[in-house]
Amino acid sequence: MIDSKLYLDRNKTVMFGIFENPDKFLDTVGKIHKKGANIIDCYTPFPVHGIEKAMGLKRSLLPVGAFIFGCCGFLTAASIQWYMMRYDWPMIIGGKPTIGISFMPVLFEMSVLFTAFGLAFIFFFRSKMLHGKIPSERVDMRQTDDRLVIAIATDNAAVSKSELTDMLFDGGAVEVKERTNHDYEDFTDVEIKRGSNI
Amino acid sequence: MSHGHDIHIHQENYTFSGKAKTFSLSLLVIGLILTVIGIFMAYNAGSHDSHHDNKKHETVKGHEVEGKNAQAENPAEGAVSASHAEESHFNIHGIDLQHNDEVLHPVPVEHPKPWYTKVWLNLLMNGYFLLLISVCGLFFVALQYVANAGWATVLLRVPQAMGTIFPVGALLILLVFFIDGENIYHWVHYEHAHIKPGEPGFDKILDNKSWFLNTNMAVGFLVCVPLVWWLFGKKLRSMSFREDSEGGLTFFNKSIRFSAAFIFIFAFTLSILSWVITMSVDAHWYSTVFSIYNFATGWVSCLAVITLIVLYLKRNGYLNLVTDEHIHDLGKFMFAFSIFWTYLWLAQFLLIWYADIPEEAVYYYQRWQMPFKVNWFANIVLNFLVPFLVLMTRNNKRNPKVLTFVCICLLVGHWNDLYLMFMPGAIPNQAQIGLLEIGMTMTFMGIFIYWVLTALSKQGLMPVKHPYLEESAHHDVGV
Repeated sequence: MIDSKLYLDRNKTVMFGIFENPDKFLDTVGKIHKKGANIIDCYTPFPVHGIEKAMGLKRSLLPVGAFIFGCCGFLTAASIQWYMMRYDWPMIIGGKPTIGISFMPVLFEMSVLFTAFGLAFIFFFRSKMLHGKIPSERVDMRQTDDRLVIAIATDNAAVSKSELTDMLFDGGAVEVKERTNHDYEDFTDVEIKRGSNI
Repeated sequence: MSHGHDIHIHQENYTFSGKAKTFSLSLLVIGLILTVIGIFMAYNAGSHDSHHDNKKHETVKGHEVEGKNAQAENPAEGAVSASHAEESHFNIHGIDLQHNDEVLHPVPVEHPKPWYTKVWLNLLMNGYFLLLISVCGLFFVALQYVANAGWATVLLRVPQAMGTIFPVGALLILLVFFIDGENIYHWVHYEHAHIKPGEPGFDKILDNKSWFLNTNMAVGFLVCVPLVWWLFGKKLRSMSFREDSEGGLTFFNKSIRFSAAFIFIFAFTLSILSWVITMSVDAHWYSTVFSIYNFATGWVSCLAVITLIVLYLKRNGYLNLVTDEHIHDLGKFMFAFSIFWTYLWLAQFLLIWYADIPEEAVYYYQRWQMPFKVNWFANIVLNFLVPFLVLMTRNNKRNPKVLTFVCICLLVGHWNDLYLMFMPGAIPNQAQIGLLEIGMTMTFMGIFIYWVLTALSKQGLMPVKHPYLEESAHHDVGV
């Protein structure tokens, strides 16, 4: 279901480019994606418009999730109303039919409720923000403040590491790091300077 | 911010000629011909009936007074007779209701309508539709300024041009009010009768409402409200065009302030106009959600018209900066506000249906009789099911052909919605969708297209110095 490559700790080596400027960041991400490098994820403190296209992300399945949750809510509401008002203890209120259009508000509200909760759950799950999230996802403390980070898997790199480093620095990265994962939550980060030999 | 495609911002000038001109003019001419035929048909059908109706009316009045007095003496009896009446399947079409000796409490006491009321009512209805669509265009522009929204800047000139035509609708409404208001609005008829409390035919409900539903008040609102809107529209337009030549942020900042004031005034004044023009057709009845429901009708129709014009311009090589992203957003807007419309429609219907208070339920009872029952179901299909199901997927919202289809469905649907607001209350026995209705609507379409496209051709299609133009050109709704 979830591409394991999308997790930082499931790749042996990962390279991070840390940026200050969102425009330069967006440009560089686009270039790196076009080169064919394996981008794991981008971490930004605010939404950067157009980043999905630049990263080459496929369309999210979130709308399908919304539809399914909406249907679940609709069916739940319909069945509890049917059970309570029609099957178990039929109640006639104001001479109205026990089943029918008066069910509408509850059907609507339950569909909305299920959709909202379902989507919130999916969102937290998919963006790895549920409880027990992997701490190593936090590449740099400043990624929630004023830095934009791109993470690139370098295990079976289509682009060589030195080429990547050059691209990141040329694109305006203020810092480049490389992480080596030894075990779960056990890794070492090494800072790479421009022109250093790797 | 974005990249990938180069953006070249330049002024575009639309020339209104060729096919579009022929199309609008032929709509106008064919519509006029059909209207004239329709008027003759209404004349032939109506001249015989109205005599008959008059007679009926005389006998009816006696019953009505009797019924009212009886009810005043014994309120419990009124309730009994109401439930009794429900069983006996009498016709609730306006005056026919009175044929039955048992009288529901606030019966819509209607007076017979001459054949030409149908013609004026069609003019009123289409004029109101025109007014709604046009002023919602103005609201669209104001909304973008107030919300600080950038996405729609590239197509802002389209609703701006649409916002120029509502004075025509307002003048037509005023004209109809003066010429045939007495026959369309029962409260005008009642006001002219000058019946004092205690006299036969005294109507407590209309008497209570007379502080608001009187000719002076109505004419005052019908004149002042469109005038105020027109002044705001003129100011917003002139600032936008001066921005094109002079640039700078002055006009933009001023527009925000003017838009905020306009939206504040618009909320109240559109509500008042909807009560005066539409809700007072059923003068005994009221609904507290009616004005916002009218706004929803106008707003969805306005979005459909904007989409159609933008798609037309794009097909003809204009509006180069408008991309699929903008079209997609218009589609989302229509999808969302169709659901909003349905929500209000259901809110109004469901409470009345559930509470089943006779004076409220009579409104829907009338609309559940043939021939209106067809329109009633068409309303749900065209205004809810079609946009909801068709516009649900992303691809459909980005597909011009599908969008055109949905827009046409929505426009037909909301015309039908207005038809249901006006006709059953005013001319329950004569209403029928025929050549007159179709012809009149075609005429209005012709006028609308001609007017709006002419307005578009008079100025540049791009607000070239608008501070958000660049942002709008790069608008991206994501993957």
